[in-house]
Amino acid sequence: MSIMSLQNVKVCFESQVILKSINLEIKRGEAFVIIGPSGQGKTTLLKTLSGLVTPQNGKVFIEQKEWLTLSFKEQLPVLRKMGILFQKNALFDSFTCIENIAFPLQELGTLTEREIEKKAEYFLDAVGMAHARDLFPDEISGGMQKRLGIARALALDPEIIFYDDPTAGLDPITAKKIIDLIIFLKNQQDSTIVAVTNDMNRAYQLADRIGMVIDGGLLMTGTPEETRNHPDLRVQQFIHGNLTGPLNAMT
Amino acid sequence: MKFLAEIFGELGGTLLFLKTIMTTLVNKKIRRSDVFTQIWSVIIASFPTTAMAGFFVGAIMTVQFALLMNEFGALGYLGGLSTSATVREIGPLLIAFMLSGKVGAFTSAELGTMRVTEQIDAIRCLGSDPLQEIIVPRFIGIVIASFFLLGFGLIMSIFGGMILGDIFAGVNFQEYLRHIPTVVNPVSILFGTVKCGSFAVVTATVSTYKGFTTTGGAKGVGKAVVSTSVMTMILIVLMDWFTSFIGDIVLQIARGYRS
Ligand SMILES: Nc1ncnc2c1ncn2[C@@H]1O[C@H](COP(=O)(O)OP(=O)(O)OP(=O)(O)O)[C@@H](O)[C@H]1O
Ligand SMILES: [Mg+2]
Repeated sequence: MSIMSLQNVKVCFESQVILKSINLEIKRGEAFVIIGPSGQGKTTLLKTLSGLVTPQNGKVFIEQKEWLTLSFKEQLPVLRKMGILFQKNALFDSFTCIENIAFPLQELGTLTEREIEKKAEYFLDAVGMAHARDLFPDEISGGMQKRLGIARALALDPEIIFYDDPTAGLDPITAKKIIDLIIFLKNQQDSTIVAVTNDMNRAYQLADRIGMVIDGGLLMTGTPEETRNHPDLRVQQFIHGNLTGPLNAMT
Repeated sequence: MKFLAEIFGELGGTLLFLKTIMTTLVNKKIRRSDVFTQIWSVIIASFPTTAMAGFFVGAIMTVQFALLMNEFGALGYLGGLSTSATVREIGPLLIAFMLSGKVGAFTSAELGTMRVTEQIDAIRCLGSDPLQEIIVPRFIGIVIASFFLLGFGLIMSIFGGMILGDIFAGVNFQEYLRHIPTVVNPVSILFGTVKCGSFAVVTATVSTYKGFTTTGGAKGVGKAVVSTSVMTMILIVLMDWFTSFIGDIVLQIARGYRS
């Protein structure tokens, strides 16, 4: 059963067409990884799936509901089941690390101060940031900001989690740890994951299904196995990181 | 033509935003602590400037009136007249310009930065309403704080007037204060308060609207701040004329009833 789907979705910014006619279904409990060259619309696709970007054309279904017809009040319960890590983290810069994680918990209005603090500390600890508890986002390193972003995305125990480039700017060891954490949490809570990454090893490790975005369209979707053996030369060039090939002819 | 369309587009957008703020204010629970924090920060930010400006406006008004009234031998009314002018016109206008310069610019820059760094999207994605969380508390904060500042500025202006009245025109403190209650009636206080409130609503709406709808990185934030200042200044002056006009009509009607 699909938890999110896009039907003939077209997204434009000003007059520039970013995504043209995308059809995609994400199944419940699946880990879907979006890959593709820079600037081709991966982030836009992720934001469209999460309901943040409004398409010019087509329909977005989230949990079987036609998203664009819902009022904010009707969207709210669904939004609370989502967590999102933004590519640029979007941390609240006037809050400390612990307050960043506590914010969504406070908004729920169902937990006591003590419970909120405990939970926030748990997630801070899970991403290895307990020592930075009372620092502000601009006082911690880029990799730490990424981890804090992940902790905040996880705070509401979301059923659907969007990760936009979770391993960008991390060293290989931390990157592996983060992906392991993402997989661990996914198995533990049976959540659905949509992730953007350009690190193919991590993509294979994480994905049930991979989709490649090129030139505003989904060039292919398939299992990691299918992706590896995909006949299209552009896919082969991308996953092997070859400097010459059909992708160079574009952009 | 395009220019006119743009102006009306902006005005319409601002009004619609004000309407959204109002519906949020009525329908959603706004956390008190957020509002108090905002009121407090607006007051703290504007306190010293209000004190200075209030003091000197009182002083200047007194000097100006003293020059005139000395000719008519009506120096006894010096305190009353200069305070009345401050309450009705100069005070609210001054507070408004100060608010728009300091708090309005600050608010649009802050919200604009939150917008371009996707913090506002993040609030939404975490299942909260950005309007309820960050816009409405700032809006109420600016409006309520403006009344405090008006009162405070007024006290400072009386203070400044008293001192200058004594030095410049030889009117001692008691005499200066004596006729304030006779000249400054409840109507002028009401006028001043309404003006101050409407100017604050202008500043609060424009700055939150401009900040909330910022696009295009650091440059966009800069643009938002500039257009906030320009738009609030123009709207405040228009609003000043408008409230005076309406006030006049109301007074005429009231007089008509009395006689
Ligand atoms: N808010 C926006 N306004 C205008 N254009 C935008 C906006 N966001 C993205 N774009 C454009 O949309 C295109 C796709 O951007 P997107 O961020 O989705 O790329 P991406 O695949 O995530 O790239 P990267 O791997 O570098 O993050 C780019 O050409 C970009 O210029
Ligand atoms: Mg991106």
